[in-house]
Amino acid sequence: MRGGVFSSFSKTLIWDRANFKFALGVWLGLSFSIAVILSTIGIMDGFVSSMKKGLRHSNGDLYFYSRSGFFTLDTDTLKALEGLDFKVMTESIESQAFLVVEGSSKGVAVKGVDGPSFSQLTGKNINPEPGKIIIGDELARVMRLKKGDEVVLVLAKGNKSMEGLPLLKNFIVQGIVDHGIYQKDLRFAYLRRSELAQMLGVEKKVNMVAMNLSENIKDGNSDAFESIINDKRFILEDILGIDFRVKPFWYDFSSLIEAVEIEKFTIGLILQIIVVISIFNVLSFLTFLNEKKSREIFLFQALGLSSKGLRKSWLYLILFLWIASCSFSIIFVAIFNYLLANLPFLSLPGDVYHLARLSLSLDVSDFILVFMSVLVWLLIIVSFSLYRMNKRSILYGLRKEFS
Amino acid sequence: MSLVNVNNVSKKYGNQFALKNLSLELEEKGQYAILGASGSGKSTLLYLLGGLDKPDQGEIEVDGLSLSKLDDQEMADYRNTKIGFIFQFHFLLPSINCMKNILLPAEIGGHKVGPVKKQALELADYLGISQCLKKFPYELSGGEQQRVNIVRALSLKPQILLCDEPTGNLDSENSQKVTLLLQKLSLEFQSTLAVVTHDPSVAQRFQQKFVLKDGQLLEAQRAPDAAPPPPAPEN
Repeated sequence: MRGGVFSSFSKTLIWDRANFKFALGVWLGLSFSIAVILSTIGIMDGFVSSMKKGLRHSNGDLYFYSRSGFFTLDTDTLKALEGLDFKVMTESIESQAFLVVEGSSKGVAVKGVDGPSFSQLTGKNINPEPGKIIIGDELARVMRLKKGDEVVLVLAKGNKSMEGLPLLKNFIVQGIVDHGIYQKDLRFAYLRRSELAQMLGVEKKVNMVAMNLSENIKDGNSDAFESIINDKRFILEDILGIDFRVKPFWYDFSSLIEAVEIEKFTIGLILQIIVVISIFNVLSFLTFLNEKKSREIFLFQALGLSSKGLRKSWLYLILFLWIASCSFSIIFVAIFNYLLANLPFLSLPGDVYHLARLSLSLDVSDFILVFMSVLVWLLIIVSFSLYRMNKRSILYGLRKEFS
Repeated sequence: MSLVNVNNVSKKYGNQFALKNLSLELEEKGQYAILGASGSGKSTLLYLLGGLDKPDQGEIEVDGLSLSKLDDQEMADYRNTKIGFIFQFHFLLPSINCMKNILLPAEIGGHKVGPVKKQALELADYLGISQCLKKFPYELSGGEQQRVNIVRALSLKPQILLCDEPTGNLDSENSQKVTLLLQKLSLEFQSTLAVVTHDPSVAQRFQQKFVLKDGQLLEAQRAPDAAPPPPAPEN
């Protein structure tokens, strides 16, 4: 079919103001329903990817700890670990403490780190100086702390002695860090490792080692990357033995992440209902046009348009509507993403969702999947009506003129 | 020479016979009036000749082609290339300009638009509607729209020109003018002309007439007092 014929055909159909408005409504409705599915998938993927990114940049790619508590790594183990060619490896001490500020206190996870290697691991500037502490931004907000403020850290002494009294020490807030994970921002505080080791009396022992792989894979390419991490994990477990636990960065939230993945699939299926409803609007629109423009359709056929040609015209119109709707849905998604990132009332309760803000994360395969599923529904629902429309006699339009 | 043979054709709509055992012939380049009261079946006959519908019984042959044996695409091609329709209500699409309306049959049939456009411009000039071609149909008078309709019908030089009450909306003076114009153009384009009318004064201008009543051919006549057809133009 020539472009000129299709152009004349489609212009004829939506020439009236009422028809045009109907077409506009159908187009916007279908665009919006597609955008709803994309946004839902995007939010869920965005949640998972934001969470994984935040975890990776606070834990490193892999970490291990001993079942028996504090440990030192012997020479052979260190040599074996070097052989695995990690990009960076850092040792740390984790303990629990209270952060006290002007009479109010909060339980925190205090982490003693080697500044340079830990900063390299996380990509964040976490290099505490002696007598100074770096805290998460949520903790700073809750405790109303800023750089330069003085805080007291209350620690239980290590099991070196049985004195029973907690250890109190003053620190100055050196900096405030954003982990991207609400829980970490609320709970974590960083000291120099040697300082924390002295306070706990553990000398040169540590209770956690974290490392980054040397493979340079971006955050978004999670499936391939996670496969590599798992391979390294098994190798590490062989080297370290059964006393040690080796965990990937997503371990703490693995159940939640898995649940979100499953929910994404289920909700994606259910949201197809919205698309089907919009497609019934499309069907109503086509039926309306077929009736209202029966005279014009008769003319096309009288001038030589075959039934097959007429079917093609309708099909091209549907495809055009589909393409226009898919295109406009991308704009809807972009608008929603912007609102999600910027509107105050769209921020999330971080203690429930672990993230304070979400952004949509969609890749090409998500768009293709959603667009194609809409096309399939469109063709299934509309094709039967098109078949029935085509069965009508050519003279129907002429008789309507005289009826 | 016989161009169209209608053999024992019947057509029913519901329980009503629109045509019943009708037989007639149209000769090549002939000019015919199909006369009858409302409901006599004259328009039905026209639509069957034009391939817009198929008879329930009987056969229609056009230039050796049996219409009942044509499939959907072949019938569409027949309507596009062999038939020119002129309807009472013009049927110009309001959403496109007059030139696009005229070129519509060529575009539908996949013909080269260039030569068709050239011919359309010449014919429009002859009919005095050159200035109308870029306008939309709703900007034209009834007479101008009818002439655009005529140009469109003749755009692909059809073998048969079928006119369904072309003067139905016109006064007597303009009816005569349009009838004369159709006769003249059909001679120029060497098309067979069949005009459906209920107006005896229009029918009088034709040498050959078919009078229908209740779906049957009442008579086929050549009126001795009919004005002779206009002479063919010299090429």
